[in-house]
Amino acid sequence: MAAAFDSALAHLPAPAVGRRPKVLLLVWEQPPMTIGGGSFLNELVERAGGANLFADVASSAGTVSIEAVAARDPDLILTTTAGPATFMRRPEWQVVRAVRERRFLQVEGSEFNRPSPRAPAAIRELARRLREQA
Amino acid sequence: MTRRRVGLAIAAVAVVSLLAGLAAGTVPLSLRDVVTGLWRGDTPASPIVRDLRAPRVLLAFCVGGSLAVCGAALQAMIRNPLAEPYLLGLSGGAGLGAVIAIATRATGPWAVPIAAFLGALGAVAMVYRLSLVAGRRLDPRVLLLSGVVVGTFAGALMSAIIVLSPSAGVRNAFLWLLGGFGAASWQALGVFAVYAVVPLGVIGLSARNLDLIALGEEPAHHLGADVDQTRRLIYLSTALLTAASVATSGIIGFVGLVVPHAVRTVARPLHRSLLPLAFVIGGSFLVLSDVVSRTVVRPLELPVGVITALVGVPLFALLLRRTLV
Repeated sequence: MAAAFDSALAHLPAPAVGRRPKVLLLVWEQPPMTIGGGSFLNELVERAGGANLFADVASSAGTVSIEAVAARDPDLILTTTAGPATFMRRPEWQVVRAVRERRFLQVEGSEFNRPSPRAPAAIRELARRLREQA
Repeated sequence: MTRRRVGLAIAAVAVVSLLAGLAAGTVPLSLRDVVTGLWRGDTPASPIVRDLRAPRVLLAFCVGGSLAVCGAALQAMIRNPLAEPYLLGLSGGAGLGAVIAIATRATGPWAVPIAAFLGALGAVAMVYRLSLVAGRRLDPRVLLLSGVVVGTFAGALMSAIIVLSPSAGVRNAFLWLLGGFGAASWQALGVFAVYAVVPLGVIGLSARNLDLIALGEEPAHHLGADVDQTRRLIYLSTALLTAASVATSGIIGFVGLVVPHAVRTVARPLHRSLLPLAFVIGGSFLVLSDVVSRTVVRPLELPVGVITALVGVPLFALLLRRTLV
C-alpha cells in the first residue's frame, strides 16, 4: 500500500511554472482560523501548485484576523466548512478582494481533512481546481 | 482627586484606548489615517477602520464594560469578593452548547454563538431553580454553590463529548471558547447591544439597593430595600449580559472579577458611581488587551483571555500591595 501511495505521488503532474496562486486555508470562519506551514493541508496545497497564504506561521492552526487576510490578499480561499454564500452575506468579509471576486474553493470529504491513502487523489483534484480558478 | 478630575481622567483613558484600538493591528495606521478613514469612506484605510476595527473596538469596549458591571453587581449582591460572572455556571453551560453545536456539525455562521447562548441560559435556569429557597427567596450561598456544581456538571459532559466525538472541528470549540474579537462585526455589535440595554438599565437602577444589600441583608431590609426582588433582578440581568458576551466573543475571564475590585481600591464609591466607572475601566481594559492580542504574535491572534490574565494579574497584584499592605 505504501509503495502504491509513493508511486501515485510520484506520478502526479508537476505544478505549472510561474507564480503560484496564494491560497488561504480557512478551516473555521468565525473567528477565521487558518493552517500554518508544516501541516498536512499546507503540503497538499503546495504539491497541487499553490502557496499557503500563512505558510510562515509555525503552529499547525491558529486564529487570524480578516484584516491580516486582506493585507496578504489571497488569490483563492479554500474552505473546509462554510460555503461562499456565508462570506458573501457578511459585510466585514468584503474587505478581502478574493471574497468580492467570489474566488472560493469549497472542499469536503475526509481526504482534505486528514492524511490518508487518498491524498494523491485530493492533490490531483485540488490542482485541477486551482488551474480552473487561475 | 476631585470627582471632576476623576471623571476627566477616566474619559481620557477611554478615548485613548479606543483610538489605540483603531490605529493598531496587522496594518499599522497613523492617527490621521484613522480619522480620515472614519470620516470619509473613500480612503485606502476606510474599509479596515470602518468595517473591521470600529465594530471590533466597540464590541470589546461593551463586552469588557458589561462583564465588569456584572462582577461589581454580583460581588455586592452575594457579598463575596470572589463573585464573578462565570462563577454561576454560565461558562460551563456555554461551553457545552458550543461543543454540541460543533459535534453535531450544526451549520451557519451563528450556529455556535446561538448554541453557546442557549447553553448559558440553560445553566442559568438550572442554577436559579436550585437556589430558590422556600419558593421565591434567592439564597446567595446556595446560588454560589449551585453555580459551581452546574458548571462542573456541564464541563464533565463537554469533556465526554469531546473525547467521543469523531468531528475534527471540536478543537475549534476550544479555541472559540478561549475568547476573542476576531469575529467582531457591526452585526455582532448590534446583537450584543440589543441584549445588553435592558439588563444594564436594570442593574443601573438597582444601584441604591446594591449599596444597602452590601451592608447586610437585615440592615438593607430595614432601610427599605426589597432584598429578594433585587437579588432576582440582578442575577437574571447579569446572566443575560454574560450569556450575550459569551455568544459574541467567547469566555473572557478576569475582567469581571478584578476590574470592580481595582475600581473600589482607587475610588471606593457608591454603586451609583462604581457601576459606570467599572463599565468604562472594564471596557478600556478589554480594548487594550485586544490590541495586545492581535499585535503581539502577528499575523496570529492570541486569545484575549490570555492577555487579560497575563497583563491584569501583575497590575492587580501591585494595586493590592499598595492599598492593603
